[in-house]
Amino acid sequence: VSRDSLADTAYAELRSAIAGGALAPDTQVVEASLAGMLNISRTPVREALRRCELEGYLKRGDGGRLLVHRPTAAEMRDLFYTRELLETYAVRLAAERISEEELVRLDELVAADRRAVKANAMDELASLNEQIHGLIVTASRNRTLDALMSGLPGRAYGLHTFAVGTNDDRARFVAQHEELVGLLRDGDADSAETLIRSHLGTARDLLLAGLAER
Amino acid sequence: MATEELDAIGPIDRPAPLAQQAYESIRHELMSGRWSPDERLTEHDVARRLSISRTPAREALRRLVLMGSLDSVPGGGYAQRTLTPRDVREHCDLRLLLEPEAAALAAARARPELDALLGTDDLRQPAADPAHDMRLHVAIAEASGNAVLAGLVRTLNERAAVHRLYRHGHDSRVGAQLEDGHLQIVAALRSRDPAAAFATMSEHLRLERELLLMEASTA
Repeated sequence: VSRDSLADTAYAELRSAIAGGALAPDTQVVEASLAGMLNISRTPVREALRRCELEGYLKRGDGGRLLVHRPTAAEMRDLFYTRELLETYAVRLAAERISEEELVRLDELVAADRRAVKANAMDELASLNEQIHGLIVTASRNRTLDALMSGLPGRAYGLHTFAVGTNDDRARFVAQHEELVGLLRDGDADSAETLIRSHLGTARDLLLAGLAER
Repeated sequence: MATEELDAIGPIDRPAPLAQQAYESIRHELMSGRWSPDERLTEHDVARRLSISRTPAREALRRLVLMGSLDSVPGGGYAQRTLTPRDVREHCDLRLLLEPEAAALAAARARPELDALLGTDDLRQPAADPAHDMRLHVAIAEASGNAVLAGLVRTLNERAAVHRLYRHGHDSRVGAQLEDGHLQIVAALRSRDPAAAFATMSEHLRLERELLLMEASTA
């Protein structure tokens, strides 16, 4: 396994632990113990930590200690405002440009989404959500947009939506994913845009309510 | 002693500015044209030339790959990416998507950042100067108060600077048009008029887009 892919794995694990709440805000993150936990050497862990810091999941406390960042309501609003701009643009393009292969792949992801919601599998839902939104951005055929989205700071906080929502909320997100795929198949850019706007708005409101409760 | 061992006995977490510095240095080298476009860069060379260790060098290089400024080359190393007309179009379209929104937000809120910006001498610099142009666009996005949005605008502008996209040998008429665009945007911000800020920024970026696409197709 290459060092780069180890660093990618460490980054993904760390980010999901932070966004999912397994690593609570203000917890100190220590390179050595994280390396032990993930059972990999420290160099890739260090890279993952730097990347998480760069993307705003970690911040520096007193004496340079690395702490899990506590997202604020303002940051969450900024994130979703920006995602709305990027993703409404992406679905409009995807409605014209998506390939049959990509639609079939989306069908599979949505089917997995339905199974995950029945099984109450939060991690699975979060991972599928990322894949579905990611594939739609890829289908926009704007590689620059794809690159911007994948490095979007704080993006992983969206994944936490599934944990703060109710069962009904989760079922609704999955139904919206399915509807969105149908609209892309029909090439209906206007309705797809309206739907993703409301989809993201619901996620944002749930996350903001979750923040207020903490 | 290897870095690994030093870390094992030293303070666990150290500040990360090295990678950021490495990124900035590499970006400046690319922007200045000191690295020729067909030169292959390796982690090792970059680390040596900037007198830094390899981990921050690698991290900075990977970030430039993510930004689309470098490609990793099969067999190791990195090469400067040549922007295709399609890349240029995507780039311009995204600036058109994000920057008018940011300008409208900046106009809508009375923030000290905006007042500071409007008070600077920067505004009297020629718009055809790419460094000035980038500073102004990034400063406006930052005055939007939305850090995520501003970060994207910064990334796009830095990317353009790395590729020296805006060195079009503007004739003076085009230069004057771009400068006029800046003045109109600034006037809209001064009068705290979000709709006008949106419209003037869009118009300015459409002109840039037209110029760049013309150049990309004739290059």
